[in-house]
Amino acid sequence: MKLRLKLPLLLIPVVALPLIIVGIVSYVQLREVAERRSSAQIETLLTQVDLNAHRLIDNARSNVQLFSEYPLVEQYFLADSEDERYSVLYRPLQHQLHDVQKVFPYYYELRILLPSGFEDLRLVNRDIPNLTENEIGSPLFTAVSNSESDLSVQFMTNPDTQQLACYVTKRIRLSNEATDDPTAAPRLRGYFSATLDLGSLFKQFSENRLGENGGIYVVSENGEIAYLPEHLRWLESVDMNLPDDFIMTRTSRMQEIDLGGEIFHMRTQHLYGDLWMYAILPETDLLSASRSFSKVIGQITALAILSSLSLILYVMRVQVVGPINRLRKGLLKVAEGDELVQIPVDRKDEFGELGAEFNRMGFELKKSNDQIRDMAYNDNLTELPNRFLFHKNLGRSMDIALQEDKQLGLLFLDLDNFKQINDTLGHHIGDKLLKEVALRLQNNLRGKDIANRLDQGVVEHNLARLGGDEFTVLLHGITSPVGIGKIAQRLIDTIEQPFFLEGKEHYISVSVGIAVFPGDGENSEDLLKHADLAMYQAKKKGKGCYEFYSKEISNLAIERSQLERNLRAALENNHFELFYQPIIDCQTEKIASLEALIRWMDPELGEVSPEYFIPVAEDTGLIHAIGSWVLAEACCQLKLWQDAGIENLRVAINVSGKQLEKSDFAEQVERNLARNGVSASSLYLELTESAVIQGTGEVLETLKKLQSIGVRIALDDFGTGYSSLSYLRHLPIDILKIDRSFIQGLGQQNNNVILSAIITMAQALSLEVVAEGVESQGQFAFLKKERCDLLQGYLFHRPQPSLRITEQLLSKSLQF
Amino acid sequence: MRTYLLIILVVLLVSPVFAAQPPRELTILNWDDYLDPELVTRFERENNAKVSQVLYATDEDRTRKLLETGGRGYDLILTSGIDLAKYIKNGWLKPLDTARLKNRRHLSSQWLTAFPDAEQYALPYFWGTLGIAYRTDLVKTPITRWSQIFTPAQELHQKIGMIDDSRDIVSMALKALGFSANSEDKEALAQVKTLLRQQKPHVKSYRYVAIDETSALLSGEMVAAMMYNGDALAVAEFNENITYVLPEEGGNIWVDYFVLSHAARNPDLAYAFLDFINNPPVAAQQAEYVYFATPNAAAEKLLDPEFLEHPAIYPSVKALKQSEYYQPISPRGNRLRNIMSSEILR
Repeated sequence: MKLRLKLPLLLIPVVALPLIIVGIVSYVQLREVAERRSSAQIETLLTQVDLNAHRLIDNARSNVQLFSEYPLVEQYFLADSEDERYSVLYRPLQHQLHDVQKVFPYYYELRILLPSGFEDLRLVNRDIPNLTENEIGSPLFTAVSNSESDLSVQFMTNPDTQQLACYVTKRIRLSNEATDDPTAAPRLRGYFSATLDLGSLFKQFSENRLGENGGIYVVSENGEIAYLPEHLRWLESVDMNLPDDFIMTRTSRMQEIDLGGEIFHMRTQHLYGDLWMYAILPETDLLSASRSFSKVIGQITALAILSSLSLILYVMRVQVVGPINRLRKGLLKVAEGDELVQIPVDRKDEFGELGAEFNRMGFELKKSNDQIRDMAYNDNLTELPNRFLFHKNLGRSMDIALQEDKQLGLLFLDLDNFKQINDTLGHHIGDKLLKEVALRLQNNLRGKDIANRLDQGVVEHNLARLGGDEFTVLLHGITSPVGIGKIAQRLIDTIEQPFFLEGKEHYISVSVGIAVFPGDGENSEDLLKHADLAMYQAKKKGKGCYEFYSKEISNLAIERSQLERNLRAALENNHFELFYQPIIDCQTEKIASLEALIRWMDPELGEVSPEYFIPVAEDTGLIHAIGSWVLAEACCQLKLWQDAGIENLRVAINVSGKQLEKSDFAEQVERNLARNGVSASSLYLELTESAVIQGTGEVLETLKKLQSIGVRIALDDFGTGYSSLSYLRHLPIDILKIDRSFIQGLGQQNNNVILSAIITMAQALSLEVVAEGVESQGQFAFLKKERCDLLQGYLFHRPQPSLRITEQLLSKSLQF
Repeated sequence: MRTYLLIILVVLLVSPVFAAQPPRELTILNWDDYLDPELVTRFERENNAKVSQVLYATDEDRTRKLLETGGRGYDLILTSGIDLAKYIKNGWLKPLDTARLKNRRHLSSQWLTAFPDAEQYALPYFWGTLGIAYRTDLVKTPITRWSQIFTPAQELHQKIGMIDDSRDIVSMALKALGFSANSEDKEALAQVKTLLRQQKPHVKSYRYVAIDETSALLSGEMVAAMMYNGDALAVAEFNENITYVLPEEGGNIWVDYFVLSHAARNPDLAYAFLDFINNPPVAAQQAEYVYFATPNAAAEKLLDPEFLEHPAIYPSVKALKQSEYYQPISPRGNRLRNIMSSEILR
């Protein structure tokens, strides 16, 4: 996790936690406050409503008392005839009561009830149908007629409106002064009743909502709802299972009840008569204040987190991440390149110190980098530019040559046989030699600069050591290849001068490959490769000379690489076969031995001559695998023949010098012999002169070891190399094979003398002599005369597959 | 000189007596504008009297006022014939001493006896009809029937004036429906109730329309109103387009009577007033003032033939044929009517 992410994550709780704690504490506090406040609020409200209700009722009581004492009203009650009442008094009374209603519109029903319960007069100020004029038996009439008090108040549902109404009724007892006995008690004349519109009271209920869903409603003594404001209608559909004891023992305390799954706080208060007010407040509303507060706290918290976060991020960016990034960028620059990296240090804090340290380190790094570059770009032995610097120079030189439309010469120098010097004289001498060579090359190039300038304008050189004994020279601004050739020859000449190392004289030659840009390669790799190929070609040509790169060289290289590819494929797919060429005893003319000759039938290239592919196999190291196969195959075949009853047959195998260089070669041969149960005497190995002579001490050891187990060694192609007979004495060989050129040259000059001398000499050294390439009867006769031991050639047998040989051997064995 | 001194002395002695004697007061409970002020002044001058009038707007208003005081406070009461019996029964009236009313002889007996006990207690003042006054220029279809204002056409909507009197509205509604104005038939009354209810929204006012220049009939706010014939003619003085019709269904024939309150404080003055008012020239002038038909036969002789032939004042027998006097209704019937009209007149 990145620092700019980690730090804020750590800081968020630091910022948020106190706020959240404050929020929780405030929530709890607010809740308590809200509960207390709403309790008080409800109490106040209930008290207010109660007060208003009582005021309303008390007013109604006094008013009804007053109205009932109106002369007209009394007159009406006292009227003893219906005629007087209905024809005279009725309309005026209606008028008067109508005027009353104009002043007190909430006495919406004013009535005169007769003692019989007959509703004699009714005045309403609104359209309310009168259901019945007979009130006898009605709850109201029953209540008022049984009331102890003359002035009674009843809360009842008005049957005409189906709404809760308040009835204030005055029982009228009057004496008719004119007719009644003044001493008798006043007679009951009827009742004057006012029906109160509780609208103003109800309005308080509907206007005083308690929260969203709460409010005040009126319940009668038995728990039935007497009045429900519009906004509490939902209560009708709710099962209000208030416990019975709740109704019985209504308290003024706040209680929690469950109404339709919602928690309410309820408080009750007696209203009037058998009516109770229930105030309910939803808990959600109670908590809404604290909820909204906690929301605010939440928002503040979020805001605080956000703002502190951005502040922290900003501070971090400026104070921490910025400097870190500068350092990081500095480090990246350091990692990328090698120039001196310094970062601005404008601070006095730890980052400033760190920056200063970084700059110091950058400086040191630059210093050591320069050293490393020196080391990396220069060969520490010769102090010449190394391969790396050479490539850089080559690329740059090619660019310049292109820009200036000039030619660039690349000389690839490789010391001849340097490995041998290293091996024989030791690396110590080898290194000294290389140093000297470098010096000499450098001097030569430098010394001839002036001459070159005079000759052909400015030629700049650039000497480098690619590694080992390889050197390169870059020649700038040349005009013709001829000049390059001259310089190359000059360098060859100077190297061929003897070197004096540790008091001894040493000779060495150098082969030079030349590639010219443009023309011999479009990029540095190709150019170098081609120069290398040209050098290789020069080596092939005989070393100590120079060779210009040409298309042919390139083609050869291509062919070679194809050959190499196919050779590997041949090995994998076993495209090799061993042919055998019989070698006959000169005297008996019988087959004495067989030379195993490898044949490669490539599906792509056709039959490939060993002369052609064996050098490649040697260069690539494939010779070891091929040699192993030949050895195993030959041993196997030898065994087959032995099993077929062909005795005293020897098989010769050609072995490359490279094979001999492997220290375990003798063991390999031994293993193969043992595996096939073939005696060592039936195998002999043919080696070229160069393989033996150029071989190191180890090669001789191997040969001796082979001889010791009974394997005989033949020296092949004798006469093409040193051909020093005296040298043969020191070599562990048993057979000498005279090169076919001697046989074919018989009769020319003094070949015959040389050949007889060789045969004589070899036999003197107890070496068996084999003549190769015998093609004519004349040659055969000569060799027979000279008592050559064994003969090989088309005159007798061509190389043949093993199967044919088997047939011949078997038939001959039958013959003989 | 002595004579002069005597005269002066007498004058001085007598004058304060004359001056000290306050004018006798005569209080009359009356309709508004029902007495020619000129005649009142003349009476006051001739009798050293002060005439005060307490005015009422409807018959019911009058009854209420009487009830409030138990019939006290008035010397003379002008009442509708139909309420005579009621007032007599309540003991608010005093029988008249006909011997003290020398001009009573000019009154035709038809009107003297039109209501029970009228002969004993009352002197007819005017008689007339209850019909419809309307603006001929503002109403396209001439109004000839009660039904036209009880179930009014759109042109009358909210331009109808009625009377704040249960008897008048219920009885005329009965007439409009083809019943007797005095019917107590429950079915008929139920129909009346429906009729009145449906009429109510079209009615501009139930307050009796003013008969002076402030009348809504003149401004056009009202184009038709239930009215007494003379009142209609009074208003027509201001606008000749106002016409009075006695509807084809018939209206109400009423007779107004002057009666003596049982608590009259100045019965003598009251008698003087009653005789004054029935003096034929006075009665004729009074009739011309109020445009009502006088029951005073001698006065009729003094009136213009034009007045006597005015169809609104003296309807033809044919026109009167369908009209009715109000008859006493049973108490329960009255109660029913009262309850019914109280809803309408609320």
